[in-house]
Amino acid sequence: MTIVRFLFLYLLIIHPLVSTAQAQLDDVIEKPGASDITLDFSGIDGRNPQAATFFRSLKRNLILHSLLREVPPSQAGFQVGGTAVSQGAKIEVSVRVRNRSLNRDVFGKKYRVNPDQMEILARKVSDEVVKSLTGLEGFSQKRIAFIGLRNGEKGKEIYSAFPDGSGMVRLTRDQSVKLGLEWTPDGASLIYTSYHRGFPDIYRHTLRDGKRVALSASSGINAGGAVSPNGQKMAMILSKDGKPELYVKDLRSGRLTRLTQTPMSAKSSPSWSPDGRSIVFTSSHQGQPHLYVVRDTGGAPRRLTRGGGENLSPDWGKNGLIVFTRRRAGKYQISVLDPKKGRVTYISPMDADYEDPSWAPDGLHVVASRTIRGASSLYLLDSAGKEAKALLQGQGNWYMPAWSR
Amino acid sequence: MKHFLPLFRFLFVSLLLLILNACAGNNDEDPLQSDIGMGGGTLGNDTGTLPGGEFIDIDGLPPRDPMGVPVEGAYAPVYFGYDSSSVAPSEMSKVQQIADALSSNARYTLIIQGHTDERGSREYNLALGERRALAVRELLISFGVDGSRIQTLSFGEEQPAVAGFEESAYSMNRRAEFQLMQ
Repeated sequence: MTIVRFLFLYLLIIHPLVSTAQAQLDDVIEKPGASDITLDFSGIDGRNPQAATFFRSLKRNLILHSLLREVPPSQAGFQVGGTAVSQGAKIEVSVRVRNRSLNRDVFGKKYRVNPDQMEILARKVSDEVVKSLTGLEGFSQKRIAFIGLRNGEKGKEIYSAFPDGSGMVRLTRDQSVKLGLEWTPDGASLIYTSYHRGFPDIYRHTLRDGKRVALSASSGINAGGAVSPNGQKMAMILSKDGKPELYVKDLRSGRLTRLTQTPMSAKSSPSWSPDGRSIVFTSSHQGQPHLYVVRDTGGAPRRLTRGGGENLSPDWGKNGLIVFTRRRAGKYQISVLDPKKGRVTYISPMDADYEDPSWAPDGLHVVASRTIRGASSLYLLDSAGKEAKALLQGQGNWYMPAWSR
Repeated sequence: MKHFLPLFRFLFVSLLLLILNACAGNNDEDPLQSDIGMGGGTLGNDTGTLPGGEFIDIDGLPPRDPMGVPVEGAYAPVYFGYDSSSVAPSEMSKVQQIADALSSNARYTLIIQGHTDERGSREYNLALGERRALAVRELLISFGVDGSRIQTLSFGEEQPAVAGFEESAYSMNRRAEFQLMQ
């Protein structure tokens, strides 16, 4: 790559990405096909087993990123290289990334870790390399929680794993139906609806000790629990007063406030705005399900979507954009709404139904479930609508992902 | 005697929770905190009102107390159209049968289970299933049944009656099912 091309690329992609979150999506979407950052991995000396583990994991994480692409060395803009060698009981790992056209390292670091920490280190280094190449926060060290129904099992249980599939753990084993998975903003707990006691109640599941506490268990449904960015309130859908409506509960005082009062309709999936003042949710009170936004102090909900047969499962990102599911041409498609401009872009392929999107920590990627004839798997999407990549598929059904951020 | 009722209820709920926990068995890795009383409304139930919004409660659900044991006998499910919770005229006689059963025995209570087909999000379908159960409940109330005898229990799309990915399966899954309790 020539310097001129690199500068052009920088101005086209990287600079807008780091300048503001708003510019990020617009600029990427309006220039589809803008070149990726191309990498080759020819500089790796992976002769010892720990080195092989480390670099396999590093490569897997880097090429998951939608702005990075592996190409043959002759075509690559950047060369990833490094070594991992034993130093007593520790492993010393060195990683460098070389700009091939400038013939200069843009990244170079050494690490000294225990031999059993190679995957942890690879996720960390991947985020550092992503940061140095794109200016964006990486996503590799943030877990994705999801619901899984393993082949041969009855229970819909909760799992979590890193995006590269490593570190998968099972968090429940009680065979009850669970849905509506969300992280608390501090990343320490999960909120979900479980039928543990026979009815759909909302629980907080603390990851450190596995304790589950019922946060809402009124008559009817208790669903869609979502904790506000400051951790002090929970939005949820309750039907105790005769029909499903949106409520907010102050988690300190326990005070419950109903925010909506509409004709009989289905409501679901509240998600907080980044400033914690508004809530987006799905409601069918004007016919088909659409997205609405309401202030957390109440008032009339404002409709955000016009098109699409159904508009479901909104997730309001820190970037200000709302990712959601829209039924369109008979398929469920992941869509991104800019609530300020009212513009919707579609980011998932039409080869299957994609549902239940959740923003990655970087505000660029999205994880969603992909379903064909009842078989669900987890896919990584990119808000510029690039290729969808499988994160977890096979051996069961995996759905309702929520990315910690 | 009347004063002891809350105590009995408390003991009953405690016992039920103990049994449920014991039945759950091998759950060492996810201990459940036994916060008793969640079913009866010890959570903050003081619904606030909002400026400018007039809140008219339609018949709210009764507290979720233990509702006894299931009564033998099956009732035909009420079926629904896609994304709809209106009870079609053709389904009305099924609702009338349930109303008759409830009026024949004052000790009977009812759980209406709401279900949906698999299309749409699971969370939306949970609300849609609830809406179906509530629509049948409203009908029963209009037939003269006391709303305090009727609980709703939505499963959304989680418990299909028929497996399959065609309308023939979907139409059998969009339903409300009935369980009399005493």
